[in-house]
Amino acid sequence: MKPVSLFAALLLAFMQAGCSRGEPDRVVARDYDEFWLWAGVQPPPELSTAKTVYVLDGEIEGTPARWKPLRATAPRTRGPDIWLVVRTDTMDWPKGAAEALARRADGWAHEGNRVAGIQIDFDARTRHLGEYAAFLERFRGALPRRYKLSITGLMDWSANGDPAALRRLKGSVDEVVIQTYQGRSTIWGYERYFERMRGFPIPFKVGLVEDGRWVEPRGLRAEPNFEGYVVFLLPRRR
Amino acid sequence: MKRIRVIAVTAMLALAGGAIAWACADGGYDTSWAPEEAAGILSPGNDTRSNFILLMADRYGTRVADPLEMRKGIVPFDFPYKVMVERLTPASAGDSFDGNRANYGLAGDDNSYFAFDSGNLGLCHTNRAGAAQFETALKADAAVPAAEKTILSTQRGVIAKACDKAAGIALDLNGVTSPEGRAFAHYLEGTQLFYAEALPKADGEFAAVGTAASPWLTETAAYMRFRTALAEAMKGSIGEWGEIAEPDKRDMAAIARADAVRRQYLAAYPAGLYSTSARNLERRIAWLRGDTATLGAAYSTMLAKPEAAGRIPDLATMEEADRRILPSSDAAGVTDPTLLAVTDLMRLRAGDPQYDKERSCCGAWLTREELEGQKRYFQSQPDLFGYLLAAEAFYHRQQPREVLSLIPDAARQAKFSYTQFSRQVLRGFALEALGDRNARAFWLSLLPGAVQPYQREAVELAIFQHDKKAGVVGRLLETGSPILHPLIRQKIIEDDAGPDLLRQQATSGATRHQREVALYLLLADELHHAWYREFVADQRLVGPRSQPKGDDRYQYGSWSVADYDPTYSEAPGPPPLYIFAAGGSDDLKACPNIERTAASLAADAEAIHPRLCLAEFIREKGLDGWGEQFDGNGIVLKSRNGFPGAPLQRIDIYKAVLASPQASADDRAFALNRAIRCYAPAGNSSCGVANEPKSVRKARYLELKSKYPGSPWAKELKTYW
Repeated sequence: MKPVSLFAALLLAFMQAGCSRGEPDRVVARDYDEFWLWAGVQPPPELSTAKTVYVLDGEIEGTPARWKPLRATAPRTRGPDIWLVVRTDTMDWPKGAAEALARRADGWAHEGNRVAGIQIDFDARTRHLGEYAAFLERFRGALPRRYKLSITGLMDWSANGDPAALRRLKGSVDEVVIQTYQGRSTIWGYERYFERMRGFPIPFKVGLVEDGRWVEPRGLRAEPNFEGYVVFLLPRRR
Repeated sequence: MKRIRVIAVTAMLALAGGAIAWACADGGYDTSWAPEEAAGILSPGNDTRSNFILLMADRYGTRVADPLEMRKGIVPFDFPYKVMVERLTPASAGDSFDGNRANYGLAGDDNSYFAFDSGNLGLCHTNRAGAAQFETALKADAAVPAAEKTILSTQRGVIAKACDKAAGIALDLNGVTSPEGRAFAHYLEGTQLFYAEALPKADGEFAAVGTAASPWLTETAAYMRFRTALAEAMKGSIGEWGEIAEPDKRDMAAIARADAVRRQYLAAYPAGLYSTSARNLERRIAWLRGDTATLGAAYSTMLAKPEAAGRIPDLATMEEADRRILPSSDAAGVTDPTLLAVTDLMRLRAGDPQYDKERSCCGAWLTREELEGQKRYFQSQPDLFGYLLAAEAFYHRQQPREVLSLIPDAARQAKFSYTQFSRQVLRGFALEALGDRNARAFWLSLLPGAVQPYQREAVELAIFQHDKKAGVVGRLLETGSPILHPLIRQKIIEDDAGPDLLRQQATSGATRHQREVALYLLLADELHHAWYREFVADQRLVGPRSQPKGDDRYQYGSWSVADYDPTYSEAPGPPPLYIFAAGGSDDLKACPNIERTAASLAADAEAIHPRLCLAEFIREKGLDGWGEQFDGNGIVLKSRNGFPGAPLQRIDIYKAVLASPQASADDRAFALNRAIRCYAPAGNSSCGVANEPKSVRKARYLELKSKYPGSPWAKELKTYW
């Protein structure tokens, strides 16, 4: 391949969503038993034996924030624990959103699914962590106790987040699933972030992207709050 | 379809100041600072829908951005589709859920907000409107006795309030006996069964309505038979996970039946109340069948309708086409040049050649041969076709020379369409790829015509990258520079300005923000490089500042372009210059303020207590981690802004003090305390690149506790890390 221009090289680097190479290990779904099932992703056979599945139900977004369903109907599963996932780009949720989401979860349970709880997928920036913690406190207060609350988190929360905000989060959420990827690729330098995750105060799982590169950082397994991996399944192109 | 975008992890963001995010080679995850990502040009890297908006602007003169949004604040670049859409319309006051709730008729009605209730097929969205129409038709129908009207109306009201619980409703229609009343009653039974998803029974009730005296009722019942059949088809197409199953697992017979009922309705009511909707639902049927060719043809027809210039483009059609066609990257049936171009560009994405060999990212590479085969569809848009030929050469086969022959130089224009502009910018990329000595002059010649939204930013980024590659980027801060964009100028100040340029920008930078950033960097760098005399002189430039109070002191400053994020905010906040101002460091324990500390160090750079106080200032004022950078293996220390040598680290000051025979007992205790605290709370160093073994950390603790038991520095510490 001919060397490409600086710009094309930058573009290439950009589209590869990472800068370095060298982790030969790739995430293969059959090696794991907890997954995210996103909208538009055809469920792969691995889901039939899964322990836990985080199923994207819809999103709350826009101004004013509105609910947008992303799944045709409720799942009808029998095996795994199911989390109802709601993606959002705002903390300005309408009144009654927690109750409405609980009703949706009730509907899923009514279909025979084992609903563990609700997961909120929000890219809360480290510098907005305090605000997010307050939002989650309000949400937890309105969510019936029969549902657990899970959130997705970013790797630099621990390194750079306000410790007081992290303690506040701990009071509201049952777990954090830390995302280690952007787009389709593992975030470069993830080992470094995990060095700073030592002593993370909240039960956490580590979110991996299917086909992404992953070598388990040293010491991760010894972390008292580490509870395993969740693999983000990718769509297959027809 | 979203582009593969590297969003938003603020790497190694330090507290209050000193934010530094050099995660990737060029600018970190958030922003690539590459002209390819500037959004004002057609590009494989764009979100498909962003390319769509640009192409529709060329075709019909539709809007790309609201003029008010363009005039307000900073014009963003490298932004996602979401931001592009938001900037199509002016932000209105009270843009919050509560503020706008009433405008949307949502007050007090959470049900309609979450109209799609779990477990059902999303049928309830027509419930409210349907109830209102029912009322009107019932009222107007003289054939229904008044007493029956009351019963029917009450019962419709029951369904209207509890659509999601329709299965549990027991309708009481016993008093309805007249023939026309019975027709309404059948319709009502059908409605309840429809919302309860008892679809075959619902169909029976709607059929039993037959030909009523009310034309509304007769037609609506016929249409409801189609909606019932369509719901049945949907139901037969859903998998275990509530997803739409692969086409080969869908109930094709039910889909065919729904289409037949739809056609029946349209034959009976070619200009009926619901005929537009029935025609539009042809696309739903085609989608359920997996019939992309029919979909492609349908979207092509829709896009061929001219739109009003200056208005917002037809986002609904565009997003539907994007959702239904592009994921398969199958352009079967597509004859529309805009839609074809969007698909073609997606297929020119680089993807991940090492790990995604099947190109699940973006479909098979678009070949020159295939593109030639599309020529007839681009007859009305030869410039666009020429652009695509050149894009294929550049992005797929990487032949920049071909680009130069496909796209002649037409840089000097009063105004560019987006296609013309994209052609010239691609020519510029090719010149850069070939190392052409006229590349910079070419970029400069594009500037006068780059007047449409987001165009100028693309050219400025290209010039910035050109000069950066040539190692002369500092000249872009001089008078007469072509770079007007405040964020690019700030980027140069942050990454490329040396001590002299920082000092110059601190007094004569283009904006107050740029002057403050330059001064903040200058002063922090001077302290980290032991330029104490210069610090004392330059510190006077800060002038009087008010000190933040209470919780404001802990605000996470996002003054740096490393934090630039068009999704959250467009303009960065001010750097915490107040830490260097009078009164900004009077709160340090056992130390004078930074002016006095720096003055002492200017007289004697090795003075022990002032050095500890400098470290204390760094610790308390958010300057830890200055110059730390991840080089692919680990954190290394690098000079920022071209100051000679490596920046100092607190841990080195403590080690030097502990090694010095001149250090007093109090200074030793202080240094031990702070060196131990470096590793709080989890054993990771926060005061420099230091991988000291735990034994060393423990020994410091034991020394502090045994040698200086009376010192407040020993009493204050209960453990080590």
